[in-house]
Amino acid sequence: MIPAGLELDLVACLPELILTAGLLVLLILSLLFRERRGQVMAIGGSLLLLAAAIVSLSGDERVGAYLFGSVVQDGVTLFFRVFFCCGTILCLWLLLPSFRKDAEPFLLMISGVLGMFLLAGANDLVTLFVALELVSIPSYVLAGYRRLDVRSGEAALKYILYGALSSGLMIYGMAFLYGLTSTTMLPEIAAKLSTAPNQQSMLLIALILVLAGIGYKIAMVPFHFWCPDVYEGSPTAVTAFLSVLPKAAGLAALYRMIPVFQTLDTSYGVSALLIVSIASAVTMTFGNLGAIWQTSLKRLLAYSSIAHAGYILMGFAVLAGIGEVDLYWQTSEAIFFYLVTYLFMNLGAFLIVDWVERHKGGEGIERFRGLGRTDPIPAILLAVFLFSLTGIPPLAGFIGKFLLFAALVKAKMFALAVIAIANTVVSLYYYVRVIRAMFLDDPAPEIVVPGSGFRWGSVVGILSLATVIPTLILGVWWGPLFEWIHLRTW
Amino acid sequence: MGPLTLLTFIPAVGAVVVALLPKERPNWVRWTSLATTAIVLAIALSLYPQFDTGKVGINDAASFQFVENASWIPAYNINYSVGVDGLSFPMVLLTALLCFLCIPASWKIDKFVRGYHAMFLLLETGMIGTFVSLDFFLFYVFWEIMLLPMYFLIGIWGGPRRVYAAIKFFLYTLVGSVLMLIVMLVLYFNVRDPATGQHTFNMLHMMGQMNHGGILDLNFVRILMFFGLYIGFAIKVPVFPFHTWLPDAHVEAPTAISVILAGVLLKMGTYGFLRISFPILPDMTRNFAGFLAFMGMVNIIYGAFCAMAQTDLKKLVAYSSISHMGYVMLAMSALTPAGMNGAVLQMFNHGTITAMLFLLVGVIYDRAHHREIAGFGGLANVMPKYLGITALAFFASLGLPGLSGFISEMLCFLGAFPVWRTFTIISIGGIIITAAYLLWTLQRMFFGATNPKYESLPDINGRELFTLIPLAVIVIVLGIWPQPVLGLMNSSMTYLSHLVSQVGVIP
Repeated sequence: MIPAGLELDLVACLPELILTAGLLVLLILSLLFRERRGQVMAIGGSLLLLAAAIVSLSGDERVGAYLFGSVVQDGVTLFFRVFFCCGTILCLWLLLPSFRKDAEPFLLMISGVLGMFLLAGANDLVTLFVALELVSIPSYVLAGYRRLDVRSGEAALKYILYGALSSGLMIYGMAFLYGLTSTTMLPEIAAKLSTAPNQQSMLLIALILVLAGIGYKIAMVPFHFWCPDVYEGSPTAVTAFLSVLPKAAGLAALYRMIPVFQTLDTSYGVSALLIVSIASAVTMTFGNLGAIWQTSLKRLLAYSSIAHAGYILMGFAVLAGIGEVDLYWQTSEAIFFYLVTYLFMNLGAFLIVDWVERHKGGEGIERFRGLGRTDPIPAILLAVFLFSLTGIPPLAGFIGKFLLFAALVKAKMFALAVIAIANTVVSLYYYVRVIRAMFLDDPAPEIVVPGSGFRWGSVVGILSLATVIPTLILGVWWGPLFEWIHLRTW
Repeated sequence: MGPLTLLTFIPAVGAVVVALLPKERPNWVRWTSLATTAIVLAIALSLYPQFDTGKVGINDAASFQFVENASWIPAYNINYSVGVDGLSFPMVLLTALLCFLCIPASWKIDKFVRGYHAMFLLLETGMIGTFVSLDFFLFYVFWEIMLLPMYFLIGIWGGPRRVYAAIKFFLYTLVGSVLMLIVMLVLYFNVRDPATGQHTFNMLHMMGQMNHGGILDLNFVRILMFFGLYIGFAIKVPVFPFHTWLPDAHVEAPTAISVILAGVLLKMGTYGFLRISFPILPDMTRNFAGFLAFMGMVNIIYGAFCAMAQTDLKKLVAYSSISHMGYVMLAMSALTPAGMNGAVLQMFNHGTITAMLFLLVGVIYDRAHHREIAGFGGLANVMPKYLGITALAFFASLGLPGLSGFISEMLCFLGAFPVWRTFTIISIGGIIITAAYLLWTLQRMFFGATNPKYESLPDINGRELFTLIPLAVIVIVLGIWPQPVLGLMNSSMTYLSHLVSQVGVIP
């Protein structure tokens, strides 16, 4: 029997359906081309994702729960879908210089987006878990895509082993949640838990397990051990993807779980606020301290991405702990805005690292020495991205940080704010090490590869414009994007 | 577009133009840069006759001058709001003047000429922007914009230990500014615009004590905020014990950048106190004025003794700056009209005098390629013109009557004495130490037997005189007739003094 209303449900799932159909078309297309496969995939994939984004945008008025309540469509879903599309389009083009003859990395990324789309609207534990796996599995394959490279293989193996463990932890925690409430629907779980405030210890265990599973995705300390090794071993373009999109997907999952976190109210003072605050403080501190000693740029950016996950978790600490509606939405805005700025500045940084790796024969910090003299344009671009990651005005990263700090100050969480301040200063130290190598140090004579020719017209050139312009503009004129996010959240 | 917007952004436009000029034409770059700073100076000077010295400003929006307001980020009620009063206008003049004089002083820089001048002009935008901002968010953005160019200017064009000095400067100032960011946000969420009831970054609304609410009613919050701001500004001044970045940065920076550092950037710290800490938290200012005065005294004495112990001429001048900024701290913490006027006049005068001193250090360094005081001797015979102008600068710095330093130091002590007797008496001892190290240095460098190595040193040249003569004229004129600058600030600073020292809310 076909349940009533299924027709409407399918309309709501149009973006996912488009993605699925498009993926199949692209798969067939990839068999027809041999030489220019990468290009075809990048163009086709971009068009597909663009279509999905536009269709998602048109879903503004179809707010509600669909598919028997397992998928919810609201402003947040919409924001994440558009975010995933934009990010992945950039990543597809980032892949192109390294994978001109392969189609698989492109297809894997797009299938990851399918998982992310589901995740953005997940309203049910099972959907959430399945979607998260759908994001993870292509990521494992992508990490190990360089089959002949030992480090790539190692990266994939580490990634999948840690991933399997944390998935297990998460599903265990979800089982507890189901046991406590006998439902898998997130709103119902939250409602039942808040009306029946017993069994708090059991809930605490469940939430910690769920947080562990999600924490693995976003490289939250202490579930971050895979991150530097995987980032270093994966092809750089893939690392760029991993550092932004699956991380944002994990945060989307956490965002959907927040109502459940808010119900935690133990008699012995352990609150969701406390748990997430500690996770945030520890994550940013470990990330930043770890980054200080790195000599590989990919590892450095890996640790920096751990630190940034920590900064974003500050926002989640506010969400988990404070029920006030105004503050809740203000913090959501801050988190989403931060994600957008992080997308551009982090992808931009990886883009230049990838370029240097391909032209200078490596991504150790010694390859960047004197880059300001031999190749000033990439060096200046990387400097902009790194200063933005530090959070120095007038760059986008500052506004992201400013909004998060604003939420924190409004919630009167000063201790966490002070920890974040200290972390900002530490992060300046290691970002500036790279800047120093590029501009203040002389080129190492044995490494100099003269005339590597950075051209604005190349794929890298256009991509760098696509990342640097938002990084600059969002630092000065961030009103319009903020308003757009504001409309999606409130 | 009003004059202040032009003043702020013409250098930024100049920076872009400079960056686009062909690499093979370093002189085009230098002349463009000179033209840009000249235009800025011309605009600043053209405002001088229009400036109404009777209007007070400070916390009264109506009496700010050349005001421009535009909505920037409505969602957070952030405005592009600029204007000047008697506190900021002298600083704007000082900045425009020093920046203009620094370009000829940088003429000899041959390494990455475009980069140097672009960074320098960007720095000027940051500095002027900071002085004219009336919105705390805008102020913060400009405050931070100064960091990046400064890091590169020290780090790329500096001396042998430039890399260390640059990162030290950057880290110290960033610590201060992120603390300031938190204080700014606390203020934002607890201050409301009386007209609309919205939260606001407008500094003038923040100064209205009746607009404060929420946690700003708690005493310990106000204490924490005061000290958050204190650390942020004290690092910039720099107040002992946050001063250790300064000798490193000054010694390693190229001449023109030392001039800007000592002449303008240090004033940012005391300007921050007067513009933000004092009027926004007047109760805490009164509570901790004694502490500020004590730190001022420590700076005076400690800086002077450190200067005396230096063998490197540039380091000596750097420590003398620490000492002289102590006068400013001491005078403003007295909260008397004379003290406030003295503080701002001392900021202006120290800016011109220390600029001369650093330029003079640059002159001798360009010739001898070292700055060891003991390595010179008998230069009076070789470089008589250089001796003359150095003696003028030294005497101005040690406060010889008839030169500008005397007037402002006198006002500082006059203002501080009724309130902080002990601190002032001890601080006056600093003058003696200052005289001692400056005269001793003069003697070691210029008199005695001429070092045979330097017998053929050329005397000061026309380009160098071009940078020094205007400053020398200002030093002499303001020493005899301080009214042209003192008159600008008097009504504002007297008002600020009343505002801060009166108990209770001032409407």
